[in-house]
Amino acid sequence: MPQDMPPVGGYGPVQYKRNIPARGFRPITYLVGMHLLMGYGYYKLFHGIREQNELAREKVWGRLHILPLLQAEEDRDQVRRHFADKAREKELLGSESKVYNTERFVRPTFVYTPTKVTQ
Amino acid sequence: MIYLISVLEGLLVIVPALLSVAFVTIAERKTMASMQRRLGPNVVGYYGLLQAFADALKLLLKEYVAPTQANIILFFLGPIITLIFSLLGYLTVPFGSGLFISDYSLGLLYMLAVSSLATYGILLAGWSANSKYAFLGSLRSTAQLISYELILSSVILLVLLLTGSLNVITIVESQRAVNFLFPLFPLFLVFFIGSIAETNRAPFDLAEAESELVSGFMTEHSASIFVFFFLAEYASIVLICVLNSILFLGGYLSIIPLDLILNVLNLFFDVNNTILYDIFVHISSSPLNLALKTAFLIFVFIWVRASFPRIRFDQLMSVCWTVLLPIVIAYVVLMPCIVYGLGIIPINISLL
Repeated sequence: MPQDMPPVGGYGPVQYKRNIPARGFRPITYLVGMHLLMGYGYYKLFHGIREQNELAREKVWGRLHILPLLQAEEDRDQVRRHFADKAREKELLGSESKVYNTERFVRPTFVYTPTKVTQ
Repeated sequence: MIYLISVLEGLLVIVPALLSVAFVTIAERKTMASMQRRLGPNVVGYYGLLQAFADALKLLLKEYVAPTQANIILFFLGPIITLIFSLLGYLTVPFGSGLFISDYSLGLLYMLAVSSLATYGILLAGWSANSKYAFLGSLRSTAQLISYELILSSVILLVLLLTGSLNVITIVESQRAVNFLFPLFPLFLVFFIGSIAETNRAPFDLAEAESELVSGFMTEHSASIFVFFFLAEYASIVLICVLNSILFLGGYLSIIPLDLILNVLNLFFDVNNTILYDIFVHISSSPLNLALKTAFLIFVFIWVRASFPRIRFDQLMSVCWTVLLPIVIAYVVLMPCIVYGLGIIPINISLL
């Protein structure tokens, strides 16, 4: 019994593709359009990032110009905390004690936080 | 009190996220129904709106069946890991100006990390079920997720080049000049294809191909643990759409050029001190914008699912490694040249 073989010369081509007319514009139009859109995007991006960087520069220079003021504020706070600390120590121990064996002012590495936060 | 507030904050994001997941499922069924000229669910609630809740109730009340030979702990742990990690990604999303759980400076990195960890849940669930279909499904899913993660993270790298910050809010705010959709249009397409593959959606849903594997890695999961997988899948779809709109469509920024409209109106009337001006200011960074953009992207997800037939697994892999990856790598070479050539290396400084 002959086996079920393909016909001599093989099967004919199968029509699987639908031959429907192309819709829309030509592909080159879409390609050019996309690049125009991207060009607009890069134009806006260029100006946007330039402005952002300019604002950052302004921010840093603004901070640099008020640096002495900020430093003074910080020092004032430091002094206030230092004297408060000394007073607290005196109240607790009765006398001021020295932690370090030096006359130099040692910046404290700790900070007191109130037990009850009022704000 | 502070802990209570932070728990409430978390719930304020997670509960609406889960609700939106419920409505996304019903939206998908309705949209696909109308694309296939049928009605879709229309009995429970008005217009079938409560169908998702009825389904969830049914699934929760069902008896769950665990395979006797399964590793029970991992079998239940898998869906839980997947759900938790797909919900954790919501915590760094800015929903509007000032509306966020966490203003994390490495937010995007966190989102990437958390979304990659969700892969482990799928791997565990598929392996522990002790079923060939589940195992094959989880292997496919893991291979697919790892491959497409590469595309997504490379595209994110290029977005970072234009923002100079991993902070999600900074990324949104730096699109005030122009949405990254315009300069990075081809990358948006690549990222969108990558996100469809990353969420295991049709036409890339090889992990749960019903014609080959019964239901992929969740073949053996039933009742309430199946709900976990279901929620996780849709939560990650919504999240990746949110990520798409944040990275390319400007997140919560308005799509309408409001300042242009104001300038035109100011030619004829004085609107600067009217309620119209206040409304425009409010719209310019309203959560509604993010919602609209995300809803549109989710619609495209559904549209794609209704339109395209499922591709073969080797085609899926070759699209990733031989088509998308070369495009992205070419961009990785090109973009620094553009940024350096135009002299627009972005500077972000935060001073207290």
